[in-house]
Amino acid sequence: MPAYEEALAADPTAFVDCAAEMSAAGTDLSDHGTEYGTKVTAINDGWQDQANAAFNDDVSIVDAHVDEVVSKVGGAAEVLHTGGSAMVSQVDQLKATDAAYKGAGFVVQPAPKVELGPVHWAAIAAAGPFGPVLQAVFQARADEGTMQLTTGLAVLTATDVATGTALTSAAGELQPLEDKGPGATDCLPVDDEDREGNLEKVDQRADAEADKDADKKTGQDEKDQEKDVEEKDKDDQGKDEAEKDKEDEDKQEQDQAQPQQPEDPSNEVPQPEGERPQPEQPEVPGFEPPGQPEVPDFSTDPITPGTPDLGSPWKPSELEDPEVPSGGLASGGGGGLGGGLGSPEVPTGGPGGGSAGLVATPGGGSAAGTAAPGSRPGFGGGLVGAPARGPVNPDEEYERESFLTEDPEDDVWGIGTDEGNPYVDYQEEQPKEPELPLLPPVDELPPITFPGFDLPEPGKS
Amino acid sequence: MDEVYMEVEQVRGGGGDLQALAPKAKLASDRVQAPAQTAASSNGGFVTGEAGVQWHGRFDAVTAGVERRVDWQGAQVATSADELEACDKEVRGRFRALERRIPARRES
Repeated sequence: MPAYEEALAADPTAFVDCAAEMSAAGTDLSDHGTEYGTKVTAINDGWQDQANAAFNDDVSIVDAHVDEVVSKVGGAAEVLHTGGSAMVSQVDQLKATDAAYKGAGFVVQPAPKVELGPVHWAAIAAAGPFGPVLQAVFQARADEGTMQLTTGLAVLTATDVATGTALTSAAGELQPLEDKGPGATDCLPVDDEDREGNLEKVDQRADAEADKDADKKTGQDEKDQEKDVEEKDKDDQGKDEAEKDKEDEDKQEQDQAQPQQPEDPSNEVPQPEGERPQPEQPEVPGFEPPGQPEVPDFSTDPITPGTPDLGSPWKPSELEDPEVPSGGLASGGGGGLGGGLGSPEVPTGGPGGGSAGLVATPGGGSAAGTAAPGSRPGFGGGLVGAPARGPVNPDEEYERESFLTEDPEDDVWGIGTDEGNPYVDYQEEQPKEPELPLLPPVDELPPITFPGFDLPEPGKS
Repeated sequence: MDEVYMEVEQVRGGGGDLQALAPKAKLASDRVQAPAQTAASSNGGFVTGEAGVQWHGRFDAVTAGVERRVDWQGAQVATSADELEACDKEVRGRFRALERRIPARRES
């Protein structure tokens, strides 16, 4: 929508030049596609297997994409060339008309409107009695000029709008290829699985999640919070070990996890009586993270005044503010919940026999560290987690601090909500309590078995 | 696939060629950038001028996408060549190991 003065100053030949360059770009891209095809042919000549077939499938996608783009570029260039050429002639005509009237002494207002110039008024004045007649003649010419310029500008504007709209539409049709890379595709599925609530997978993949969770920290579930903390700690320790563990775990997880597939964490806990309790024991995991984070947290916090929010208040807050300790509880609270589950289990397991012992000794370090899966203790993850836990347990205060620092406001709020809605948390824990009854039955089982043997004996007798 | 076959050096070189070719896709859009900017700046108030710049932006994204894709393909091809070569060496080593055992038994 150029104004009249803009139209006069315009250089639509630039559109034509641009169109020519676009057309050349289309040719370049076409040549690129041809060269691409040559390279691909050279590769295919020396390669034949499934990977080559997959490669050629992808090549066909690129070929089709490039052909489509070349076609669209050609179409856009054609549109711009046609519109640009029309605008060139229209602007030229507008300029010629404008120049003609100005040359005749008329004044051209930017409306556009042609008015009588000083020359005409002088002539009118000089005409004496014929002045009005002469003025009418001049005014008629001026009005005609106004019409010409207005019409010319309208046509130019219409052409501009049509061309611009077509070009915008053509731009919208250009859709870049989706990138194929190792990163995105791998990460996304993991998130989905986690969201599904498969605790086992989630816990095991906690390391993988660490990076992601750091961003997410919204703390959907208490357990998630726990995971975040643990993950962060683990990240500090070493991602390499975690990754290795992941790979092994993932594979094993799939085998193990598929059959069970517990929907709710609460449900999961009770089901896996033998193996599950160990990994799930939140107590160990909760304790673990604090120990490791302690060093980084203290060092970072004092050094980096950068945490202005926590800065001045953070020391007093930790000591005095109820919220802070609560936050510690909350992050731990995630652990607390898990712990709640674990704790009941542990005592039960003690009496039960093997389960408790397993947890305390082998699993205690490894399983708890992962917080997740009992599988870890077996794998290598246990090694990492175990050492950290020992020192961690005594330092609960540090845990709280570390959580606060690591999980800035988000975790705190999440914790706050948990605490604020203690009833909710308790309710969640309560469903877990049913686990207790489940465990005791285990104790009962052995006695039952003995009588069972006795019974058959009399029957046999 | 009925047949598994690879000229490792040829394929690896082809992957490198693809990666070398990939950036050239961008040249197609690069040559449009200046004319599009000029057309927009020298035709103030024209819808077409801004549309041309916008179009170039999209076109640039498309060529960049082609560049990344072709580069990725080249990397995959080179990787496939490396993997197959490594596999080939491993198999060769195993055959040689077997070969050593066989004559030993015969001698005995």
